[in-house]
Order: sequence, then structure tokens, then C-alpha cells
Amino acid sequence: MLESYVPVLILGVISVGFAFVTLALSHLIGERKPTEEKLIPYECGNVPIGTARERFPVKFYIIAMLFIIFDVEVAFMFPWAVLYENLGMLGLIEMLIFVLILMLGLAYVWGKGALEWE
Amino acid sequence: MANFDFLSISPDLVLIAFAVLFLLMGSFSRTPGVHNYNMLSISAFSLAILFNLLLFGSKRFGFYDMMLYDELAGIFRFIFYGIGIIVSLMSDPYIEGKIKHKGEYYALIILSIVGMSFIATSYDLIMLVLGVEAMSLSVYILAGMFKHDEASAEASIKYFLLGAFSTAIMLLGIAFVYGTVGTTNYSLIVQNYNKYLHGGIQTGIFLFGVAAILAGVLFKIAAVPFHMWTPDVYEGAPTSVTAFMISGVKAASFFMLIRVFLIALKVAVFNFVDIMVFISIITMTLGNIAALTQRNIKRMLAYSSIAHAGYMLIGFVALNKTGLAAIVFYLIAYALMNLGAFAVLVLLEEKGKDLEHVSGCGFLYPFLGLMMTIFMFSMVGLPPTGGFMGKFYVFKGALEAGYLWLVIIAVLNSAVSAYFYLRVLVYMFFEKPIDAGGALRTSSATVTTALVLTSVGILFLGIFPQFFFEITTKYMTYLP
Repeated sequence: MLESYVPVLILGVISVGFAFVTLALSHLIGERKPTEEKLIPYECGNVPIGTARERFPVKFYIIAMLFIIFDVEVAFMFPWAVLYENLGMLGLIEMLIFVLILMLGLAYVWGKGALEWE
Repeated sequence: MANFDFLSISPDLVLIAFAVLFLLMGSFSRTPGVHNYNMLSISAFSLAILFNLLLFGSKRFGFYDMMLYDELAGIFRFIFYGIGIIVSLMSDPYIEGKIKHKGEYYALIILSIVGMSFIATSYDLIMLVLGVEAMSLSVYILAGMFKHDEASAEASIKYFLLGAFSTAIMLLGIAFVYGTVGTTNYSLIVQNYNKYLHGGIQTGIFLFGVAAILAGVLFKIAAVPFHMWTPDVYEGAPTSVTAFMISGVKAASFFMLIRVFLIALKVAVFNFVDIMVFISIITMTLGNIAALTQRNIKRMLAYSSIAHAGYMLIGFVALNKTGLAAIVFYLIAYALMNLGAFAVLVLLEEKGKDLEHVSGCGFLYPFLGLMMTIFMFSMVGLPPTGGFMGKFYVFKGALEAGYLWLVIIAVLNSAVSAYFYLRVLVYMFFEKPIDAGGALRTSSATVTTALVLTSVGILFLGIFPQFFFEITTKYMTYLP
């Protein structure tokens, strides 16, 4: 069983080595002509307007957190949907319980007023 | 084998239902001030205790053998739910006006205790991690419940980061154990170890996994190489939450140590006895010596909890029936005396958090003074208190296993600890009060109930120790 980890070790060594070698080579033999445009922060090709260190409204974070929860829910539902036939009634009931818990969470968030922007 | 034994988790189901109710009450109620969350929470725990009482004595496998409810798990459920009741009793006057979201506070305490109960009934490493996370995540949030208090926020983030890291180490260990024995089920781990591994070339990998799991568990019980978070977190968190962490989380973590290492990993546990002896000595010594210099009472009690973890580890080192049963006994006494001491602090905290601030309180508030005396005596280990009998049984177990020198070190440590515990009483009774006029706002009936319950419990454990010790010895069936 220990031998079966040898490929993993080889892969690890190769990937670390590859990253190191490419970085080192481009650092050593790459040509560098820095211009002002090249040195500004990359913002999807747009010319930056102002500093990136803006203060965001904290509401964005709440929305992001809620999104993550329901995103993970979908990630959990995909494998269930694929194996729906095999899991049968048991799987259906478990998924219903899972969704029910999330619905309770949504109700909680709604009641707290986290869904209102103002 | 889809044995859905909902009966065996019925106490937890009751608690989860109440927690959801609290959350919805907290969010939809237009009159948040009027609800008696603490009374509701006490009735939830009482109901859970009742259900557990009905179950007690049976041995049930459930949920694809991921859970095993046995007598010792039942005893620990009683401990957790009892801690829940006392914490609910002492919380309300303390958090009143300081925490806006009271429903959430009680819901998180309940959910954390559900996590502990899942640890107690786990029969699979995955289930164990689930319980640990349910317990810890709730406590991370609880520690930061005073959102506008910097120390509280620091405690929360520190506990969260280090706790997440320790869980990662523990999961790594579980992965290694799974990699070598091919299962996470407690009984199958033992079977497969004996069948395939047994001293073979991969035993080293298995032992590495066990060591990583041990590191994760030692983090939770705040044993020395992994204790750094304890003082800051216990000092910064709201006092009622600290009481909950210091009693509940510690009890759950010790049961995790006993359950995992004496059911699932008992094949490896003897490899770790030597290092556990070392950890135990260094834990109690460092805890006691660091506590000597503390002026802040909460921080002092945090270091004292490290020292107590060291004493309890002696019972684990002994690895015999007396020693292991003594851990359970010690945990009950330890939980009671810490809950009691923190209940006193909850009332006195308005005056300040340092030793100077409690000056003279013993005579100003004779009841609180008497209570603090009982709790501090119990922490030192003076008869007739539960702390004394706990130490006595732990040392007895170690002597039976032949660790005379370990017991001598522990007794010396105990003597050192008398200084800082009794110093609290010196300040309370022999120093002049700094502001005699400052009357306390709260002499709350619920906190008084908590104090009476805990002190009577400690004296009962100290005067009639056989009653509990016989129960714990009888049900301590996990032996290596």
C-alpha cells in the first residue's frame, strides 16, 4: 500500500520542480522592458480609476455569504440528482430534510431583515 | 443496515427543535425583550434529560453504525445537558442589555451541546468530526457575542483560526488512519488493524495518523503544547460563555479523548502513554506556574483550567478502570466548580475583572463570599469538596498503575495552586473594599439558583463520593 503512494510523490516532485524551473528560467532569460502601462494593477484590461482599497458596504458580504450557502446546496444536490434512481425514497426524504433546514435558515435571514438593502 | 434509530437521538432532536424555534423567535418577534429565553432553554434541557433518562441503560447502534448510544454516552449527555441548564441560569442577567440577539445566544448554546452529544454517541470518525465542528462553530460565534468589545472579537477570531487549524490536523490524522486501515468505523478500525496491519510496515503511517488525531484532541482540551489560545480566549469571551467553554467544551473533549482512544484506537494507545505522561506533567506545571502571576481572575481561571486538564490526563495515563472512571468523576466536579466560580464572577464583573476589584466583596456580599470559598476550596482540592475526591480518585488510579512519582509531582503542583486560588479569597475577605458604595445591580434569582445547584453538587460529590464514583466505575466499559 505504501508503494502505491510513489506516483503521488513523483507527481508532487515534478509539479514543484516544473513550477520552480519555469519561474527561474523566465526570471533568468526573460527580457524585461517595464513601461508605465505594464506596471499599473491589472483590472480586467480597464484603465484603473482610483485606488483598489475602497471601503465596500458591508451588505455585499451578507449577500455573498447567503450566496455561498445556496451555492453549496446546489453542489450537494447534483450528485443526488445523478443517483436519484438508486437512492430512491430514502434519498428524497433526506434531501427534503436538508432543503427544509436551509429554508428555515432563509426564513431566519428574511426575518432578521438581511435581505433588505436599505 | 440502515438502522434509523431516531429514538437514540431523541434528546438531541428535541434540542434542535428548540434551537430552531429560538432562531425564528429571534428573527420574527417584534417584541424581542419579552421572551423568557432562559426559561425556555432550561425546559428544553430538562426535556432532553427526561428523554435521556428513558433511554438510559440501553445500548443502541444507529444510522449505519455511525452512532452507538451506550451507558457512558448517556452519562455524558446528562453532564452536557446539566451544564446547559446551569449556563442558561447564569446567562440572562449577564447578557441582558449587552447582547441584542438573545434568541441566537441560547440557540447557539443549545446547538453546541447537540454537537457535544453527537461526540458522545459517535461510533465513526466522520461522525466525531461532525460533532466537534457543530460544537466548536457555535462556540466560536458565542465567544464573539459582545460585538463591540475588542477582547471578545479577538477571542472569537483567535479561537476560530486556531480551532480550524487544529481540526485540519485532526482530519489529516483521520485521513492517514483511513489510508492504512480503510475504514472510519470504530470497531472496524480495530478489526482491520489486527487483520492487515499488526506491526507491519504501515503501522508507522497509522501511528502518525493517531498522533495527529491526538494533537487535535489535545488542542481542544488545552493541553500544553497546544494551550496558547486558552488564556486569551477565556479572558476575552463573555463570562457566561467562558463558563460554558471551560466546563462543556472541556468535558466533551475529554470524552472524545476517552471514546476515540479507548474504542477505536485502543490498538495504538499504549504507544502514546510515555508522551502523555510528559504532556500531563508539563500541562499541570505550566498551568499552575503561569496562574501564579495573573491579576485578572478570568485569566487566572483559564490557566487553572490548563492545570486541571493536566491532572485529568493522569487518569488517562493510568489507563485502568479507576483512573478512567476518575476522569469522569473529576469532570463532573470540575464542571460544577468552574460554573459556580464563573457564576460569582458574572455578578461581580460590574466591579471589574481584576483581583483588586473584588476586594472586600466577601463581607459586602456574604452569600457570594461563601460560594466563592466553596468553589476555590474545591479547585485547590480541599475536603469536603468534589475537587478533593476527584483528585483523590485520579491519583488512586495512577498509583494502581504504578506511577508513584507522577502522583508526587501532581500533589506538589496542587500545593502550588493553593496560593493563587486562596489569594482570591484573601482579596475578598481580608482587603478593604475599593468603593464601598458601589452596590451591585444584580442579585439575580436565576444566578442564585445556579450557585446553590453547583455548590450543593460539589459538597455532595465531596461528602458522598461513592454514589457517583460507583456509577462511573460501573459504566466505564472502555478499556484498552
